[in-house]
Amino acid sequence: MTIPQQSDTWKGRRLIEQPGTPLLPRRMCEWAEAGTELRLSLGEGVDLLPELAKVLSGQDIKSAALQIISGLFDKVSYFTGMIDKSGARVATYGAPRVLEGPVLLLGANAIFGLGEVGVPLVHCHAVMVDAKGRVHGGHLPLEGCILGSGGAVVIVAPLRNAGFEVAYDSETNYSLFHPVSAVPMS
Amino acid sequence: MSETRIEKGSYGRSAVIRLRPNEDLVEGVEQACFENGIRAAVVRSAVGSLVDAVLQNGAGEDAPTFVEQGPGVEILTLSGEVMPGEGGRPKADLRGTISTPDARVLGGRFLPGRNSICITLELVLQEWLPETDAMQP
Repeated sequence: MTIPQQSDTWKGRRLIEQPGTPLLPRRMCEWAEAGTELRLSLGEGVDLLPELAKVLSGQDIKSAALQIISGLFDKVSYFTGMIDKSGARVATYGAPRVLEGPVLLLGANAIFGLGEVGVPLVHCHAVMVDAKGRVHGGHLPLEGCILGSGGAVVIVAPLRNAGFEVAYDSETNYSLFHPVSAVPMS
Repeated sequence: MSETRIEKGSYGRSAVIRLRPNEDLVEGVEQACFENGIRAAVVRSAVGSLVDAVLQNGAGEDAPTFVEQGPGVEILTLSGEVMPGEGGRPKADLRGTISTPDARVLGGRFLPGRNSICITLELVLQEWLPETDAMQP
């Protein structure tokens, strides 16, 4: 198998050269057993992502697929990606974009897993609409997304015997979630 | 008007997947399913980014298609499924929303073969295990 690594096109799509050597396998996959699913109702005033990490850890869940199906923020910020002009990475985040509430969450996908040094971590991207009806979206910061009245509802699909764990990725020069097997469960 | 088909079944195991840079979003998911024996599955959650996004609104060659240039186009939400396609090979239909480097939010169906992963795609698929052949009501 050849590994594309040029800043060129391949079969009509643009490829981009990463700072590090391409790693194998290009598609990583581990099998997890599905556990009993949870529906979480988070309340007003809660900081969304730290609360999710705390609640899931308290349920002895090490990794999960999350869908945030509703929510309202009093305050939230987000990041969008852009080219990294330093060359250290191909893309980076710009300055945070801060929205004052009420900001309605239209939908969000998130991955829950183990961060560096084993700290639970939620990686979340969200679509939101501000009080003037303008749609926003991006990567949510790990702290500071404060829920307003009505809170948020999150559907949790726990992953057992496999999951995501952060590891340094020399190809992209980022620490990223990777699939791992045998995530210890209680 | 075509008829509604009903397929009974249940969910099975979950596949915990990462696609590395320059894999195509749709074809990479299909290939990961092929390599791991996944015939049918649904997207449970995904977070990632694209070099450029090529989205389509509708089906067929004439459907409106638009391109958003990155790098660093964020995949905000992803939904869809993998079902057996030609010859039983997994075929993915993936739709979702993206944010562009200038903070616009757009959505559509990700065009197969046109959406290179930029940094990563973290994805959880859950197997769909049909109990019966599809039937009509």
